[in-house]
Amino acid sequence: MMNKLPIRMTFFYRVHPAVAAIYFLEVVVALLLFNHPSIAVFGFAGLTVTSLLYLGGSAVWRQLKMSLFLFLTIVLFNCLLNQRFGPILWRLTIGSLTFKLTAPALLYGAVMGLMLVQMLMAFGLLNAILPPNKLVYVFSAVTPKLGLLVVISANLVKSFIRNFHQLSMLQKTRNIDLAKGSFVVRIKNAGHLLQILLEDSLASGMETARLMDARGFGAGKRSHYRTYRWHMTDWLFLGLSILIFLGIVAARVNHIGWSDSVAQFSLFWLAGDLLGVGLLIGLLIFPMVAEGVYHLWTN
Amino acid sequence: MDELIKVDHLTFTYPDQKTPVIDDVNLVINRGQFVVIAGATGSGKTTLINHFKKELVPNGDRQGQVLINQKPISKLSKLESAKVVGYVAQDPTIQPIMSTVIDELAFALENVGEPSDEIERRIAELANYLGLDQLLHQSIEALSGGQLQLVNLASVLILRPEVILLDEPAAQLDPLSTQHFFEVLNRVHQELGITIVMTEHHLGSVLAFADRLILLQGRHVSFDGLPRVGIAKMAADSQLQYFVPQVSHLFLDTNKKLTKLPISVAEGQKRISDEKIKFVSAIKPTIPAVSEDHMLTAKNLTFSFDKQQNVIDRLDLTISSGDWLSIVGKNGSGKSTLLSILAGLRIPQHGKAKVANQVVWKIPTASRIQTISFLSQTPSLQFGEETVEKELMKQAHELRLDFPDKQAKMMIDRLHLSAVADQSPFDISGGQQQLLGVALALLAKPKLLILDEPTKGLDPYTKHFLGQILQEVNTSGMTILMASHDMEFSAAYSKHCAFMFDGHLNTVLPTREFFANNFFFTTSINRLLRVQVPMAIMPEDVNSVSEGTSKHVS
Repeated sequence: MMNKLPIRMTFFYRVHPAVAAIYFLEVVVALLLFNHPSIAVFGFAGLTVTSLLYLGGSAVWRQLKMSLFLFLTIVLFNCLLNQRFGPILWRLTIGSLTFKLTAPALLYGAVMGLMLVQMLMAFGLLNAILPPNKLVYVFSAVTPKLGLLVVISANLVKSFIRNFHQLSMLQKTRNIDLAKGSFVVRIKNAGHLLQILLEDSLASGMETARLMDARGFGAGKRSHYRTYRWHMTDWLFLGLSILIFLGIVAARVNHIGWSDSVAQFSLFWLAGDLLGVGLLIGLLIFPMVAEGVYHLWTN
Repeated sequence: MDELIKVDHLTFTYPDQKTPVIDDVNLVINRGQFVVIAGATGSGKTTLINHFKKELVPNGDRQGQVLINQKPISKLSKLESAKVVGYVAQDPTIQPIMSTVIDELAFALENVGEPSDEIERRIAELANYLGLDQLLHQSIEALSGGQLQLVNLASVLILRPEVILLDEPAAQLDPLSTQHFFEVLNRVHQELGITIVMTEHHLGSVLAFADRLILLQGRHVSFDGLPRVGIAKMAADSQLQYFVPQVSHLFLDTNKKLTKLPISVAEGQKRISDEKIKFVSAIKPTIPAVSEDHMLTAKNLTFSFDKQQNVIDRLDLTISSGDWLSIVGKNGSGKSTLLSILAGLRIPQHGKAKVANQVVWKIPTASRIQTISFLSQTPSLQFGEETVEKELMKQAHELRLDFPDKQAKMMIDRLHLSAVADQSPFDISGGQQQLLGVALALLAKPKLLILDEPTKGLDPYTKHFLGQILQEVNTSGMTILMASHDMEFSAAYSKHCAFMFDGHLNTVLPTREFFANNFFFTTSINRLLRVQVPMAIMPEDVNSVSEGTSKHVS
């Protein structure tokens, strides 16, 4: 397994936040431009390798485990809802109802699921490369308060999740156990806990807001501590990633890597996919290539 | 003197309350003073200090006014308020906004529009002054309680305010972090000349640094003057006598000038040395009444949150029936995690913990809460009903008690919660929430009572009251396991103590032996008298011998 690089020491972490933000925008758009199985699979592989380098094996594994449920749910629903095409892999008849598991439905569901997982992985990577302070910097160019709001929201979500774990553990002392009882009881208990959590989060959120106020938030125009200088390497990274991205857009305009109908999803490899795979992988592993070049330049 | 804060005939009543919480308070706080405001829970300390900061002034009916630099507080601009008055809250986790220390320090300066190079200069200077330079790129989440509170102080100090207000800033810190925090605060006062105004219950650690004590009692200022004189006044009051620092307690009736009354261990030692005071042991030999039966046995417990580092590491523990074991240790040493495992709320990766031969986390929840009660260090996360009374009634029903409503009402009376019985448990004070948590835990009459920081946020009088209740249930046979930062409370009530370190418990020892053998984590009396009476841990453990007489000084 690849070793994780200390994130702050990587070239990717040190590129200008605006460049990193543009790169992630390109990745997100590029992932949405293709829906062929081969491109989805190779894209997933490319993103996994890049994530392994920057996030480490355990973080990627944890993320994949969490994504598996989403992936399977999307595959399941696709198989249930797409019954029209063939070839049929398996058939089940109960009374007047017939369920057909078709190859296009299975393949299309898997592609949709993979696309969602890739999107989550891209955001996981974004979170590491663009931590809140950098996001504030990027957003501040548009609106400073929006930037801060992004940071506060991210912190609130974190504390909300942490408190929910804590709350569900401690409420067992009140005979409320989310892991016990019928489905209805569990839903009812979860609702009760969410209500407590919301009240608690609201109260502590108000307190935090008061303390922000006490430290001069909203007193006038905010300044910014972090100033990021633009280097030649930022131009290079930006220029090359845009070139690859434009190649991806051009491929998509020429109908490479995209099928309009589920009926066309019976083959893993379709005409023109090689170019789509090459360009997408090129974009996804581009930070790794840049990392390598940067390290080659070490004195 | 240079007047900084003036409180002019201030009376304040909270909405929906008939009586004011503070009534006709008049004060002047001069530049450069170190003021401690003390008083029992509900005496209006926090209400008063919040009136000194424009953004924190509570809603309600107010008469009179507060002036900062001769200007009514309502007339201060936001920028002026931020730059002149700093505020540090009790809960260290509630203030930080950003994800790293350096960004948190920059936050306040960004708010007031300082340019980037000035921000960097101030961060560099302050981080080095407070010793935070190694923590600058640390995640806020990774900091201990003590480090976090220092960062909170720094993020206020970086604005170079004229006064810093602190509302019980050490209430959630362990003793060493508390000591360090107050020493830093004293440096800020002494070296930078910044005015300090703080509310505090535990006066032993802070009064030695203060030059003024304000006592709030019965909605009024009952004392305003030198701390040492104020201590003597407190000693004469039935409630406030519990606020008197232990070192001062020892010297109170020696008929010396009150202005020379020692507060800190160092001052006590100087007094002993100057006046050649001799102390002799008055320790009564006691054998803790502990049964041979084991209430709880834990073997080889190992727990990790991230599978990278064990918080609990191959821990073994046996608690006898009827024992009261206190676990002390630094913030983040794993005490709370251990207690939650022993209460069956968390499952460790390895090892077993058994009560009555049953693995605790395998006991069905409904049965477990009848045998083991648990008080978290955040009791509000154990609440969920609309009123205090309903909270107890619901628990009594869950426990299937006979006459549940009656038992709930009896518990309300016993824990002195009648005045807040109809209030939301989320709206009552921290101390009252703590008492409600204890009430919920005691309702089951459990065999094993597990308490995580039960004295957190309690004033010394309420702490004494809680100690008496717990001692009563312990005497009647209930086993108590407690984690606490409160050395005096642990020393006064528990039968055995242990130190949590590196994922396991250091040898469990009888309380006196434990504190007498400790050097840092011990009571101030033991620190003061360890040469003369090494086994003394409380004021009543010694008699002073002077001029040929032997006298009990407590």
